[in-house]
Amino acid sequence: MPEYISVEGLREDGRRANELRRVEANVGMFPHADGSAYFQQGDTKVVAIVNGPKQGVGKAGDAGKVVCDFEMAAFSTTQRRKPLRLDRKNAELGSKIASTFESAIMTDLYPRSQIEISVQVLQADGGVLAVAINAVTLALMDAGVAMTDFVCACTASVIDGTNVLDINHYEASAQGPELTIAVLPSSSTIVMAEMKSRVHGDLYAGLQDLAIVGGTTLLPLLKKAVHDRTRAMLPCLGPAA
Amino acid sequence: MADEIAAETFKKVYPREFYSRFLEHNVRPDGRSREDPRPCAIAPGTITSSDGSCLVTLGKTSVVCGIKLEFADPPLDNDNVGWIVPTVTLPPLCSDRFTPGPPPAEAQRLSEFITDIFCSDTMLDKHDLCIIPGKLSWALYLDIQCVNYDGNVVDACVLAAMAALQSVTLPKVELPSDLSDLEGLPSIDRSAGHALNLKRTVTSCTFAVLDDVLTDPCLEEEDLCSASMTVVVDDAGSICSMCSPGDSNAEDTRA
Repeated sequence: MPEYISVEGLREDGRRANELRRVEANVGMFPHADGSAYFQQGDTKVVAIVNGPKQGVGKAGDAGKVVCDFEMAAFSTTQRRKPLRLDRKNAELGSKIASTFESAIMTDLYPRSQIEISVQVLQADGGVLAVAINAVTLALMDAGVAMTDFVCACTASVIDGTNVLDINHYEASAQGPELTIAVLPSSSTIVMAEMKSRVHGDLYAGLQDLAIVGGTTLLPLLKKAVHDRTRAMLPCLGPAA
Repeated sequence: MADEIAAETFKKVYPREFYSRFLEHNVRPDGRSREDPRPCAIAPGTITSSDGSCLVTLGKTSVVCGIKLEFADPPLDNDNVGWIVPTVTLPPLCSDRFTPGPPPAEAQRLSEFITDIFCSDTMLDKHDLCIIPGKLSWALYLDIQCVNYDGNVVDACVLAAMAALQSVTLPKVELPSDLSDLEGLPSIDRSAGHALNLKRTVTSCTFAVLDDVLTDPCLEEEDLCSASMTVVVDDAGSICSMCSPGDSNAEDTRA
């Protein structure tokens, strides 16, 4: 049986149980989109772009609509994924991201309009949904879409009786329950929670707390990325009025 | 400030004229001369989940190529070769001119072009991809994903595919002694593989005709040009492939 956590309490990649993977963020690198961001957590690499708010398609509602197109590169996973035109898994993740952000974006401010999100996963090494949500948050900030708060997402799992944060692909193969949570850190509101396996009720509370802590820890990192971008944009305003 | 606005407006209203004014002085609006290509960066091995990969940026254009190796049945017409399957994807994310849905014609054209270059026997012997004749072969999936579409994606794709192929390690396959009872798939040893035996190294260069011949056109130039042409050359200096899409007259091609 493979060992996921060593006797010293270190994980396969050298992290402690409650430690996040290395984060790298890059905001606003694409000029053709209203907002764009690259977010990398460990070896999971995601690019997200945002277009809009633009004229809504279909039934005009009083609140703005959020749509999300989610795609994974064929080489992103260990087993090559055949690119399908209607990939249900991608469609599911896309709709999850859209509904997550519908609760964070002030949609009332954008009546009869639509905000389009595109997500492209370049490499999947666990926690794809969480990393995608973090990337989309940054892209939305870059697009200047009004949001109540940052949306920070993180995964948590239980391996050999220990709660671990931000699992990678190898640790996901331990078949533990994987919980993905997206939070609005300032109010600690959960805007999305996903778990696809059975877990004992006693364990759940601990997992949820850990994932929320993980999400909150990400906040300063996301903030820094947005601040860096804003600072870089400042000279574009011209001399101060 | 007013001049800047005037220049922007001029560019929007008369884009062709705007370019001509620059080209008269042998300079392009981004500061390059006619012959200069944009700065290019090649980073092999960026996608660790693949068997070979490369990220190429050419100015603002960037593409990622990832290669996955899988076991496959040999082709029916020739049972001691393997497969090479190149695909170029232009997702809606890379440019606002692509929409979600079926692959755009441009992506299919690029896929065909890459297939023509990399699936020929002069590039690599497909017998190398055979594991057990008639039973098992390698399928080499070469997927190219465009991340940012800012003109001359062809050159970036060729560079990325070439560098990714060079970084591939064909894993060693451990076969059971008795081939007749091949149950399931044989085990592989990624640490003991060998590199692909590539016969040559190719690079491509694209030119656009816009008053004069411009090397490595960016998206604006591609949209304005009257003709464009891609020439693929190998390390021995011979031309492997040439492609001139769209309408162009012989005069332009000769230039």
